[in-house]
Amino acid sequence: MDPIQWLVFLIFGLPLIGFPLVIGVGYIKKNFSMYLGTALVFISFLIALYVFFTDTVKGTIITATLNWLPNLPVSIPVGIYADQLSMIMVLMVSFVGFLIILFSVGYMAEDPRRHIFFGEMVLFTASMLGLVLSSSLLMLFIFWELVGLCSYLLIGFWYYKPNAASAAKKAFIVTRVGDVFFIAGIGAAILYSGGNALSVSPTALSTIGTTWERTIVALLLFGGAIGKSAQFPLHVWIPDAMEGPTTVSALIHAATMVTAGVYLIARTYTIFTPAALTVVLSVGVFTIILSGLIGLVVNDIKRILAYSTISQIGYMVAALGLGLGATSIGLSIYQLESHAFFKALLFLSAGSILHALLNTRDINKMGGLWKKMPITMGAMLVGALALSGFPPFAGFFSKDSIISASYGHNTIAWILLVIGGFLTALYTFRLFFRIAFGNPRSHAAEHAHESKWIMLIPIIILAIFSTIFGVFQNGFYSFLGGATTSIGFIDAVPATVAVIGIGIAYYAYGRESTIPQRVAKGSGFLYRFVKNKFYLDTLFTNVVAERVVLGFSVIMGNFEKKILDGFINTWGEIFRDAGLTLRKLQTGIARQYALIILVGLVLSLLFIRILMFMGVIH
Amino acid sequence: MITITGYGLGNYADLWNIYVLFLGAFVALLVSMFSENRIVHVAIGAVFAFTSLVMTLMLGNLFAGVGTGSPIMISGFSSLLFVTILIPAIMSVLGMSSFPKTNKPGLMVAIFLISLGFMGLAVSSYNLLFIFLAFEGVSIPTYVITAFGKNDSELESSIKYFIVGAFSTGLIIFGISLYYIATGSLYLGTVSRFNEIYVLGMGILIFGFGFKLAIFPLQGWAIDTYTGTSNPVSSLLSTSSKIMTLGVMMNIFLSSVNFFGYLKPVFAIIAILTMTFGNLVAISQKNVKRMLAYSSIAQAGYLSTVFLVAGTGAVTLAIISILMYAMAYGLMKGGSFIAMNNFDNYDLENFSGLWKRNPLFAASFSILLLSLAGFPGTLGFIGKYFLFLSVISTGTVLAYIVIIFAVLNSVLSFYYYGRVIMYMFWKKGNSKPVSSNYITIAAAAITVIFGVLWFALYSYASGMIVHLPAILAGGI
Repeated sequence: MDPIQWLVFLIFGLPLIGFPLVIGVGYIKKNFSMYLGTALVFISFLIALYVFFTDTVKGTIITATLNWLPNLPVSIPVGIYADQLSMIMVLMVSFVGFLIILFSVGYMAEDPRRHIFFGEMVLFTASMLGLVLSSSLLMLFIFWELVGLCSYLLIGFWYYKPNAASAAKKAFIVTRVGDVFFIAGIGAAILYSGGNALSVSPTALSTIGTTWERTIVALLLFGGAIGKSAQFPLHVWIPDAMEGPTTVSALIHAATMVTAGVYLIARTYTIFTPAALTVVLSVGVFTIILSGLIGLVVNDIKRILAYSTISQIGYMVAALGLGLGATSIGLSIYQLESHAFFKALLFLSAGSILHALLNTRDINKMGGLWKKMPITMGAMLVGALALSGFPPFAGFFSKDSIISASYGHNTIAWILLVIGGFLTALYTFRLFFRIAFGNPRSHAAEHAHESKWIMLIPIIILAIFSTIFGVFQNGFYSFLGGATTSIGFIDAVPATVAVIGIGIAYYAYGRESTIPQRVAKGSGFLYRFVKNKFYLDTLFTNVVAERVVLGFSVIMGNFEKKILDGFINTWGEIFRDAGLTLRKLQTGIARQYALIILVGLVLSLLFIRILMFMGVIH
Repeated sequence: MITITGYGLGNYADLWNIYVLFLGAFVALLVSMFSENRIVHVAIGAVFAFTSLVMTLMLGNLFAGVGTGSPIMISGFSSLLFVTILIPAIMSVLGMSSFPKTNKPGLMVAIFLISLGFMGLAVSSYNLLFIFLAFEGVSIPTYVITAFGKNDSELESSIKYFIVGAFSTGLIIFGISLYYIATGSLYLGTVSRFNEIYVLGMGILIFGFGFKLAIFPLQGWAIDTYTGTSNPVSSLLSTSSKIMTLGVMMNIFLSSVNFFGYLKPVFAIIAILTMTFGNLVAISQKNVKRMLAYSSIAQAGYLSTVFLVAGTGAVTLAIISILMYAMAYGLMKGGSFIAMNNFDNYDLENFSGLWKRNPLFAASFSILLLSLAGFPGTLGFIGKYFLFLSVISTGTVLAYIVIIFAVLNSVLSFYYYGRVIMYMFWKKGNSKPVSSNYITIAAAAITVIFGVLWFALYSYASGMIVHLPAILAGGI
């Protein structure tokens, strides 16, 4: 391999190989693992930066492929595939990951198991980096599962809290449902392309023959993407996942896990036929509205952010569903990156607040923090403005471009996306005003104080990026091969709607008012419906899990116990009895061994002689 | 077809990687005049074996061009084979730091190094007389070292080994004389003039040499000896000595052009019987060391499938894969036999709860067992995969039948390996602390590293095997 290929390998190889070391040094001194973990991810980022500016900007695609297990009917490529899309993801993941881990140095400073935490964070980042650099679907799947594993470990990091333990299980099981689709998609891709489509390069993927076959593979892969990217109906794990440490939520939401699904769709975009894209668009748009509505009635600061993530990922998925080729990828990935910045910013600010408020998460118990924590709240305001798409913050450029792009394409989608923008502004500023304004509504909020500098530095860097990231918009689109945009009249609509949303939020939540209660009471049934998250959790737990799956598993369990076990036990007994019989050959008497050898020798010579006489073999 | 001409001694004068082992034996004897410190002698043994390993790796390709008419020839193939012999041998000599119990460690290490040196000579010999001498040079020191602890079970196992070994020596001599009658030469790869005598002689040679490989009707001594003798010696006998025998047999039978047709059905039957017997009886064993002995019988069955590629285009791939499998086999078998050093009895119950008592050791031992069973991600899987692949690529019905049996047997073997793992991890019981065995841990680590990064090994081996001894390519 060339040096440059080694470098690309090191981007994810270094933290992947280094993570046991991070845990290991923790046994010498716990703080060492914090520094080592941060350093590893930072070096990854530096290497990524070097590779990006030496090769990727020239349009070079760095690949190195090796056939793991040769001579099979299907080749199993493993290796690296670093094109523009991958490298842009790598830069974002390593950079945001580094900032979040840096923040964790302050945030987790007192945790007794922090060496394990940092080891897992490094592994999480490494698996995500490996995921975006994988050259084959199979290798991508391996890292995909590693990401799932890390999310399980980290969400359940405070495993002694029953909520955290069950949330970790939920995240793992729900994303597993998606993974089943993913692996079925890989199978279908192998089947329909004679094994060529295991590689992720567009030429290899386009060997899948007919439109129908492409649609099937695309929809199966999309099923996997839904699970990881938390789209309807598999979004239910993400609000519960807020039980983990806040920095974990930041990493899951901004840099690593939920973006994996979007990346998968963008990576395999060649095989998404119009039929598949319609499904993608519908799921994206539906998720935006659904999660926007739920976001309005939740009171937990982190859960509000979680629902906002679901809806923002919905925008990315919807952008891909528009089916504009490279332009769609550009729109979606640009939204992904700017979302990574402002969502990491919002989560880290939330982390800073929770750190100050001793983990009180109910926004009804906050208030008046504007004066107590000016830097954190200022950063949060930037994040909130960016999230609502207020010009000139990053979210305005990324999200409004998606909405505008849908205008000429699909008017119903456009209307729903605009409504989604309105909801986003409304719930975001409901959150912000409840926290920042008014009087402190609890003891903890009265005694809040600003956080340590090591926590504020990443927040400030992210705030700067959330503000200025819009500058890169057109450069970004053309870099990924899409069409550039310019701001026109149609862009004013979402921006105006966002301003209206912020206004309503101020009117209802920014000052003392009873409007929310009256609205809630007035809408009655509808409010309860939304408040209970559209009864989706109840549906999944009570109907799907308890009735259908459990019932089925009882039937299968009986089948296994009665029929399969009997079958296997019979064979087991046959083999055991055979062993017990053959064992008698082993008498322990040396002369008998010699006799057995002699008999064997005579028999085999006789056998050879017979072969000779028969003339079968010469 | 290749006729052998020329009577030079080959690169006899350059075999320093082998002579250094004999030198080491004398050093050990010399030192034992002044000190009988066990650690010193084990260190001498390890250092000389390691020096030989380094020299073998460096020497490897130097003598690729030496003519095939030589009785002794070190080539890429034989030096790689010697590497796979030396690695488990180093593990064995390190294991000798605690067993066998003796007050003459100097003599023990000297004997060990002498037998190791003869192993190197045996795999690089291409003349039956040389092969016979080197083979006996391995046998006699190992008879002694098997009995070195002088307790009852060691003496008993040595006697069994010796009786069956003497019997086999007779067979070898008889086979060699028939070979000479048939061909008029003792060089390998000579074309016979009297086919029936030749075939008879070769059939007897299979049994004569096969006893050290412990293939089916000759397995009796092996189980008792592996179980009865001390762990490092079991490890030596079941790894280095076995791999050496395999190499010698490959040299003899893969170059015997007239014999290819008879070789395959005979070895197909032997391979199937060997692995099935080993696995079936291993299932009924409650003693872990005896289970390992049976499993090494089963492994001999897998190893002997390699003879099915004789005279086809798959020989090169088969030889590369047999080298990888031999490497894996040495690591996992040696590692697990030496792991027995840390237990005072080998009853399955004694392994219960090992995970709680020493997690690292339990994990390493489990990795080695999984590797023996052929679990993906370990070198054992890679070796088995390539070996079976190369056999299947000959495309004959016989090859398919044998490989189907081999795969079914691998599945079967998960039962008894898995049972030990089950006891170590999930059974409660024994809570006596167990110390770590670093040889086992290192073997497990290498098994996993090369199990994933196997292509490093593969490309190194295929680089060396470019210069496959021409006679091995036999009928191509």
